[in-house]
Amino acid sequence: MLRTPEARLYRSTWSDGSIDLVAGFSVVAIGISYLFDLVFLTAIVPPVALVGWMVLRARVVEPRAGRAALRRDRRERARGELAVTAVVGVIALLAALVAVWAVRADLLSTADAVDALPAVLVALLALAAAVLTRSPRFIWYAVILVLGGVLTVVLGTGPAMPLLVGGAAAALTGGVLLGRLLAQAPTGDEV
Amino acid sequence: MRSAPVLPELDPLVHEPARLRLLVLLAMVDSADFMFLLRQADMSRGNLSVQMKRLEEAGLVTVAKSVVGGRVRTSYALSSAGLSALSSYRDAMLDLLSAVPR
Repeated sequence: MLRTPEARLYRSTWSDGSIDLVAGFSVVAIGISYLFDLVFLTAIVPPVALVGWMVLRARVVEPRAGRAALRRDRRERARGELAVTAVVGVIALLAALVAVWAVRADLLSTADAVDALPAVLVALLALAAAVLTRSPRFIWYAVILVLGGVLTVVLGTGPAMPLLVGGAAAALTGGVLLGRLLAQAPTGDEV
Repeated sequence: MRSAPVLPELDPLVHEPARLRLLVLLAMVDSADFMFLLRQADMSRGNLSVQMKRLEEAGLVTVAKSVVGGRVRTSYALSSAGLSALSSYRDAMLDLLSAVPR
């Protein structure tokens, strides 16, 4: 349990499920793009997802859950954590590109292991989301993605499988959380 | 000459549980709108409206209204007087409860 009411309040602002739903569908979409060998679509998915999430929050979440401006110290902490996450993400992406290059250049012979890379990269992002939002459920998404990645190496099922499973888990959880918000907090005028 | 009171005075405006929850919620953010407070404080719309009106009249919160998507959005923030009242209340309550044996 988080120690202070402020930390619990901060976490509750991420409990509406909208980010899980949109991120989950995005990961599923990336998985489908791998399935049909349309990998270039992975570049389009994140910006579309970001716009979709902002619209979902503005049209569905905020009329029910309301809106609060975080305190400056909390905003600055979140900004710092986001910057660290971005740096770690870029390093992970570069490491993945080097691994892919090494396999193609026959420096590494474990081509199947590269199939797990997209899932591992998304798992890293899920872990970052867990830290940023103080929400342990993102750790579970990361665990599912990594386990899926391990399975894909063992079974040789290709990179799509762990993304489809992990994305579906996040989207399903997000759907349940958002459904709960819709059921418990009907919109309407303030008074 | 009267001696100083043994027990500290508690401000009844702050001490009322619903208002205390609202003031503490507002102390945790820069500002929050009506729907946010409604959900986080788990109060009825009528009660929230009445309590916020009292806090506004006492100068403990500031109010800003805007129209978003054709609906009125009322945002609240703790005023400096509100923060001061809440700090005094905390000091008084800590002093009061320090008398309770563990």
